[in-house]
Formats: sequence, structure tokens, C-alpha cells
Amino acid sequence: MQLIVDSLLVNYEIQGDNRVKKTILLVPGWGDTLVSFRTLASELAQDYTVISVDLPGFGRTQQPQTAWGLGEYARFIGSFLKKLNNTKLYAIIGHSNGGSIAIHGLAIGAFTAEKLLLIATAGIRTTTKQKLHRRLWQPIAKVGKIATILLPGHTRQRLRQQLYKAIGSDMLVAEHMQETFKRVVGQDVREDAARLRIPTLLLYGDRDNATPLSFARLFSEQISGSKLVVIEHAGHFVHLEQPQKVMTEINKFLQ
Amino acid sequence: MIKYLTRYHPHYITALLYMLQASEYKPKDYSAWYLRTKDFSTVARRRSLVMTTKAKLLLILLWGLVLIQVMCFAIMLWIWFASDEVGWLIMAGIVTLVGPFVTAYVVLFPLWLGQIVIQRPKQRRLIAAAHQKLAAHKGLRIAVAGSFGKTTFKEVLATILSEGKMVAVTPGNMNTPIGISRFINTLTGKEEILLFELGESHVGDVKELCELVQPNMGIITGINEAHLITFKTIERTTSTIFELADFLPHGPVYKNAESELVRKRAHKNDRLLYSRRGVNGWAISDSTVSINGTHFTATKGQKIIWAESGLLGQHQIGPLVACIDIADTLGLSVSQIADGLKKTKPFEHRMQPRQLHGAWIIDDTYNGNKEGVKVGIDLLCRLEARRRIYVTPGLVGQGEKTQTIHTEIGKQLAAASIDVIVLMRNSVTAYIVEGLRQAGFQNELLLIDEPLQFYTNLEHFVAAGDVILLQNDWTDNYA
Amino acid sequence: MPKATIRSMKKTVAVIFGGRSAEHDISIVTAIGSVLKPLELSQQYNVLPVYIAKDGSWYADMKLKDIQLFTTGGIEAFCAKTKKAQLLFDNGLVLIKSGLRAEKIKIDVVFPAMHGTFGEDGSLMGLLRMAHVPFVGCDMTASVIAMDKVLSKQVIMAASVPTPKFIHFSNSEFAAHQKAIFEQVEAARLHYPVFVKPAHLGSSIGITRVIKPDDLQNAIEVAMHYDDTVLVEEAVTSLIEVTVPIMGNDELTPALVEQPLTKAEDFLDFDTKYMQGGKKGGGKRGAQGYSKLPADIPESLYNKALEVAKNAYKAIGCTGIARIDLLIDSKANKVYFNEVNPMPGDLYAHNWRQAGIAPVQLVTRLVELAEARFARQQQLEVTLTTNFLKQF
Repeated sequence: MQLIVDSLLVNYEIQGDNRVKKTILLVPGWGDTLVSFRTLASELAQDYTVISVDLPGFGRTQQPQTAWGLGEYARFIGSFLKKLNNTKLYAIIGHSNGGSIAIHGLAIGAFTAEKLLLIATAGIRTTTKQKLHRRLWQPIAKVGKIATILLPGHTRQRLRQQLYKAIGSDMLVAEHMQETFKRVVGQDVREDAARLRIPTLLLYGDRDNATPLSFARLFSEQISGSKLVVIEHAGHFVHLEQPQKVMTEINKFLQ
Repeated sequence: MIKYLTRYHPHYITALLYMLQASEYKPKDYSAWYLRTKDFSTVARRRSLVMTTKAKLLLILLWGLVLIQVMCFAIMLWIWFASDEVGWLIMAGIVTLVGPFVTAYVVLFPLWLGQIVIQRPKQRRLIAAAHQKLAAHKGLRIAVAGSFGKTTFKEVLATILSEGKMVAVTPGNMNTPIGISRFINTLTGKEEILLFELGESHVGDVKELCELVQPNMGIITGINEAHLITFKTIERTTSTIFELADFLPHGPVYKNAESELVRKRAHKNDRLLYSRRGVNGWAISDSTVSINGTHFTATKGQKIIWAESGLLGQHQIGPLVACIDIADTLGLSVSQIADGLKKTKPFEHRMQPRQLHGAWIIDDTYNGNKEGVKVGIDLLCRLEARRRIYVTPGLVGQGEKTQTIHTEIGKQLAAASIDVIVLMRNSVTAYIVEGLRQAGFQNELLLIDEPLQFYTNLEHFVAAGDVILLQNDWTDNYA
Repeated sequence: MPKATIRSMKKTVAVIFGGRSAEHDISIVTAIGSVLKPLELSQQYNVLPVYIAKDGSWYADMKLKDIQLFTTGGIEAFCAKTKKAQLLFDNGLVLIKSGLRAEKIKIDVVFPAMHGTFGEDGSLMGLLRMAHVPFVGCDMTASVIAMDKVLSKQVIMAASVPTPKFIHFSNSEFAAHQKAIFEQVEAARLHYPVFVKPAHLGSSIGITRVIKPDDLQNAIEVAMHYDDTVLVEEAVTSLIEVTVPIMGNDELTPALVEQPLTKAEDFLDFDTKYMQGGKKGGGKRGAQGYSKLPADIPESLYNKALEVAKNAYKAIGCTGIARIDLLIDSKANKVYFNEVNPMPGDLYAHNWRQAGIAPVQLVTRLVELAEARFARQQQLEVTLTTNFLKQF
């Protein structure tokens, strides 16, 4: 279904009856769309009203005109819910970057929810390993930029793509959103997390390289009264890799 | 001139290899084709090259030859530069001129050598072993010979007999001494019936095969002008195929009465002459043909068989009733025979129906004789259709009679008032068109320049309710 | 006897595809699969592919016949290194491929295989009329009417062909007098559910089904995002959607009444229409995904659908080919006109084929229809020629 929010054409889906039951919002991660939540959403829809949305720039929602940060994304969700006349969320479920947006949004009061569920959530930007990583690559990138200045445009672009692929960056997941990406990953949400006072469940995969277990531990320290569950045999897309286990945990938490 | 220059295009090499492969590495056919070809860029339009090990080796050899020529050419030029003797320049020119021909023929040498040194002795040993093995085998041997229809007959008979007997049958077109010997060497000894297809391309072939397989029973499925080029006269073809009858002066030999040449040669009162009217006391009634198959009733005394075969066409009834009689003589019950008949299905590329977007395509591309064309047109007329479409390139290897045969086909098509006639343009097209004209054909005629394009894009030419009969596939060597 | 075709005497048919529309990619599929190939196979024409890139540049090259050029993304490199084609109006259409030696190609017939804006909405037809060249499909006026849902419904109503009740308004009207518009909806007594649609887009992009008045505002906003005119239309109950491809200038040949199978959603959106077309098993493959062919409706209703479709085709003034979408109220046995597609995706070849017209026959007949219409128009022009200036 479609809706205009702040002049952006927004694609979303509602499952379940949106008048009677409690509402749950699903927020996908960077470069991801509501499609990856469909199974989860239809199961949840038996007991709740489930809204899933494509964030601006991804799926079939329009791209924002300017570069956005977490703040813009959080406020966007606020306006989106208002447009749907559904501002009182029972729970919000965020995956990866969607989790960061949820944390930030709740912290700044862009929207409210009774419960928070974070799946393989990102938002911790300066672990020592990452610093090392950056310190290693930044000079190389600078040198590369200068070295390739004389090459034709498309060759340069291809080289760049190969480089980003080699270092496993998400930068090119959505090439059209590079500036937004830089802004979003520049924001650390640990302080926001510390301000949360609602029951929170953290679900992380034991084989996740993108948002490793160290993130999970840092978040569970920050958010008082949060609960961490590590899902075995799962990478970053926990809800797609171990749907059953995830569903069981979510049901337990939401009841 | 430009056509001539195709001999210097890299495609030339591929074309040579394709020609070798398509002519089954027979030097004579290859050579004839080579000499006939003017433009090598158009070779390999109908099919494409299959990269077997043999083909790969030959390809390397061919390019090796080219390389040697290029080097010779270069060296001669170089010497000419160095010595300034015009003789070397002329030599280089000659190399350039004769190069392609040398390549085309030198490539035959290793093939010939392989034949003499490796293949021939191996084949002799193989045949000897088969001879021995078969001498000890207790199964009944049935041999099938004829210019056409033998593969179908063999397969149908095997299907029916399998309802009550252990049957072994020569696979595919394995009908040469080598092929049959290979087949014999795979037998277990337990088979009750052995079915052999006997191939013929030269006088004495059938006799030689009879001596190898020692048949107890024979079937002659039909005689026509196929292989007329090697047989020279139709009489020689006839007597070669009748070598099977000669080998079995007392044994049962079934003969197809619907083939004129067979009927003429056989005795009038031969009870084993089979046709759509019956054979050996069997009478046929109530025959119908649809896209799903051919149905009829066969009666002999107290025995009644309601035959439902998946094979298409009235012309199938003769062979089917011959099979019924053979099965009956060999002791199969009426119900076993009926069950066997039900299992007979069209063979690949032989009157084989398939659906395409709601249209019926009858694939009869393996047919290659005028009898087949006649029954094909007959079948097409009998089937329900929105449009009847007939597709053919014409017949191959009809010798002197090419013109009359194709004009006749044109007339038959016109008489059958086929809705659309599609002809692959080649040397016989004009004769068919002439036949159509003489008979006053008024419907749609399509002449196709790119057969491969046509066949692979058939779906663009058909609509629901059409029946399309595809007959007589041509390879390039007849283009 | 059939006409003998000599190579040099073959007419040149230019197949124009691509274009500056949202349906650029679908046009490529239509052109290569359903137009170029069968036209070539007919052996009656020299077929020239003419591709309009997303930026509006024209290219004419035989290499454009290959779908792989587009599926592999090689098209961008191709456009970068290939000279653009120029148009010359020389009492007919001539394409010029510049290069070392400029190649002039006289076009005898144009086959526009374009969908959506510029290609299907009459713009290209206007250009071709100016060029004085016969072209396949609806003429300019019919295309303009067809691509405007409001206009086509008004024309249809004038011809007494039934179509669902509706109101329409422009974006500026809505912005200025929102309240008045809502009152208008009330006054028109439109029964809910209603459909809110942008007036111009061909596929179901931007269309929302609205169940209650509260949701109307959001739906109008979405429609206005796509177009400057919006219509609110009563939904047909007990709905069966069918579509009928029709061919002809004066004498109309309808194909079969086809029933596209909608999924769980209330109607097809762009995704089901084009993106998933034929990927999964079951149903007939077509530009519209899955469908029942012929439609599973009683004979009387089937005939009524054919009748309404033909009347709509005539009322709008379609020629060549068009596809009429109908809405059937299966309880009331009523057939309504919904919209018309002047250039159906794939030409609806799968339907024509079931109706007994093979793709090769379809395209050659369409070219013949184009030439027939052109010849008639020329006759009219001749009678209208005056020597006004010479009087002085």
C-alpha cells in the first residue's frame, strides 16, 4: 500500500486488523525492505496488527531529497505513524540499522512504544577493531583516490566498487544513498540506548560478522532491564536464518 | 569472387570440420560436398557442430595446417625480401592459392590412416566374437529389412512381444555388421526373441548380415529409391533387400503389400503379404485415426482384437496387423497383444505429435521418402484442424526422379487443399511449386530461406487449433 | 499464387521501442519478443529496430534486435559508442545513421512498440503524422483519449457505453478547495468502496482502493503524487475483471475475452503485472501474469463483454489494435468499460494465439491495417487540397 509522508511516496503493508489489536511496527535494516519481514509479519498478524514499511531510499519508497541521518529517519517514522492514525505502538521491532533508528526515535520521542525488540542491531560505531580497520583503510583510500584520478570515470567507479566489496562495506548496498549512508553510520546510539526505560529484548546471531556479539553485550549493558538472547547458527539476518527460534523468543517477550 | 574469398575466412576451418562431421567422416561424401560448395560462409546453417574429442583433435590439426601454411608463406616472403628472387614470391603466391585445398584434403589422411591401422582389425575381431556368441544362443531370431519403416516395425514388434516374451532388440539405427555385433556381445543368453534391424546401402549387405545373425523369421517393410545413388538401379535395391527372403526360402517372411516394389516381387498368393486390409487370415475393420492414435478391429476366426495404438496414420495398420500375427503365432494371448498395442507410441521424429500453444505439431522429420510424404498428407487431411500446415524441404537423394517425385508431391498437396504450405528453399523447391501450380493451388505458400530460424521459432507461426506436419529434415550436404 | 517477394522490393518496417516512460523496459520486451521476431520471420519486410534510450536519444541498428544487449546491461556501452540516428521528414520518414558515410534509410511503415508516456499517449503518433508515414496501432486522437482515463470515460459515456460512476478534479482544485471536493464526492453519491486513480498512467500504479471516507485523503495524495488529475470512481461489486484485445480499422476482430487472475490483493499492481509475469508456474503467461483464457463466465456475459468492448473500441476511435479492459458485476450481469490500452504489452500475443491468430499473422496483419488506414487518410488529403494562394 502507498501513502504520502512528508512529500515522499511511501510503500508499506498492514497485516491483521488495525483497529482491535495491539500494533507492532517492523523497521528493516540498511538496504533491506519489508519483504524480508513478511514471514515474521504474517505470523505476528495472528495476534497483533503488524505494520511494515520500506524506509525512504529502499524498496518501493521514494528516496529522500537530501542526505538523511538517524534523526530524519526517526522523525519520518513518527510522521508515518501519525498519517496512519496509529501513534500508540505496542512494540517496535528493528533489524540492524532499523534497530538503531528505533533506539534513536524512542530516545528523542519521535514515537513511543511499550516494548522494544532489537534484532542484530547496529549503532555502535567505534569499537577498537573498527577504529583499527578505519585507520588501516583510510590512507589507502586517499592514496587510491589520487592515484586513479586520471582514469576514465567508469573504470574508476568499477575499481571503487571492487575495493568496497573487498573490505566488506555496506556503502554500495545502496549506491544512490552514499551520503546518507555516511551520515547514518557516523551516529552512535549508545547514549540513546542508555535513556530507554522500556522492556527490551536483544536478539543476535552467534555467527554475525556485521553486528557481532560484542555489540549485543554493549547494548545490554546500556539498556537497563534488557534481556539478551543469542540465537545459535545464525548470522546477521537472524529472522530469516532461524525464523522458528526467533518467533518463539518474540512470542515469549511480547506476552 | 567474394564467395571464393570465404576460403580465407577463419570460419572456413569450422565449415570444413562441420562438413566432415555431417558427412560422417566419409571421404567420398565429404569430397563431393566440398567440391560443390562455393560459399563457405553459408555452410552449417541447419545444424551446428558437435564438439566431440575427434572433432577437437581434427580442429587442432586443421589449424596446425593453416599455421604451417602461414609460416611457409612468411618464410618465402622473407627469403624473397632477402634474396630478391621473384621465384620465391611466386611460390608464396602459390602457397596462398592452394593452401585452402591442401588443408581440406590433407585432413583426410589421418582419418584414413586411423581406419586402416586401428579400426579395421578391431572390427574384424568384434564380428568374429559376435558370430561365436550367437551360435550358442537359443533365442528365436527375427530380422527386419527394407528401405523404410524398419525401425518403427522393429520397435512396435518388440513392444508387443515383450508382453509375453523376453525380447532383445538392436538399439536405434545400429544396423551395420559392427553395430549388430556390438549388440550381440551385450546379450545375456536368456532372451527368447532377438530382433535385428538389417541396414542396406550396397548389394550384398543384407546377405552378409543374414549370415551373421542367422534369422528364423524375416520382415520386409518396404522398398523405395533410398540409397539409389549407391545401388544405381531400383532392381538392385529390391534384390538386395530380398536377400533376406532368399536366405529364408522356407521360413516365414512377412512382406509389406502396400509397398509396390515389394508386392511386385512377392508371390501373389503369399499369405504373409500384409496391408491395412489384414494378413494371414486377419481381417481389419472400423479403423479410425485421430491425433491420439490409430484404432481398428482385427479379427481371425474366433479371435478379436480391439487395437488402440498411439501410432498415427492408416499406413500403420499394415505393420501393426503383421505384428499381431507374429505375436499370435509365437503364442501370445489376445489380451497380451491388445495390451502391447496400447503401449505402442510414436517414435521420436516419426509421426510424433506434440502440443505447442494449443496447436498440434506432428514431427515426422525422420521421414525421407515419398511413401512417407503420401501418408503424411493423408494423415493431415484426416485430422481436425483450424488450419492445416505442411512443412517440408522436400526429399533427399531421389536421383533422376527428383523432379517427377517433387512435382507429384506438389500436386498431392494441392489436391489435399492444405491451408498453408511451408517449403525450405533449396534445389527441389521449384519442382514442388510447379506441382502446386499445375494443380491450381490457391492457399498460402511460404518459402523459407533460413530453415534453422524457422524450426526454432515455430511458436511464432502457430496458433491454437492448427495442425502442423513437419516432414523430411535435410542436412546441409544436400543443400 | 502467392506474391513473390523479392528482397529489394521488401518494405522497411521500423520498430520503435524503449522511450522516456516508466514502461521503457516492458516496451523492450514487447518489441523484441512480440514484434521484431515475428516480423522478421514473416520474411515480408526488412525490419529495422529503432531504440529510444531513457534520455530520449534515438538509435537505429540491427544489433538492437538482441534481447541480450539489454538483459546484460551492454546497452549503455552500446549507446555510448553508437552514433545517434537522425530523423528526416522527406515526404515520408527517413532515418539517417551518421558515420563516415551517412546511411539513409527510408521507412515505409513504423511499428511503435511503446507503452506509456510519449510512446502510447499520442505524442509519437503526432510526430509520425507530421512525417507522413503509416504506423501501426491507434492514431493520435484515439491514443490521446485512451491514455486519459477521465477523457476516455467521458467519450464512452457519450456513446452510451456503461462505465462506473466517477468524479474528477485537478491537483490545484484539490489544494484550493479540499472541502468542496469532499462535498462533491458526497453529492455524487459514490458508494464505497471507491477507487482513487491518477488520470493518465497506464498500469495500476498509484491506484488505491478506499473502503471508508476517512482514508480518501491519503489515497488522493498518493494519486496526486503521480498525476495532476485524479479520479474517484465507484468500485464494481461482485467484480470479475476481463480484458479483450481487438484488432481492425472498420471491421473488428476481437481475440478471446481474458480473465486476469488477481492475487489476494484487491487488484493488480505494477509488480504482479510485469515483474512477476510468468515466473511461477500455473496459469497462462502473459504481460499480465496469470489469467484464465477464455474467461470463465457464462456465455451470455461473454458475448455481452465482446459487445461492450467493440463499442468502446469504436467510440474511442481506435484503429489497428487496442485492448479494452472491462469490469463485470457478476451478480447484476452488467459489463462496464474500465479503460483502454492502445498498445497492449506483448500485443497480447498469447491471447491472439489462442484465438487462432499466430504471432507472424498478427504482426503482418497489423502492418497491413496501418497501410490501409494511411491510404484512406491520403485520399482524404487529396480531396482537401486547394489552390487558395493561386487564386490571387
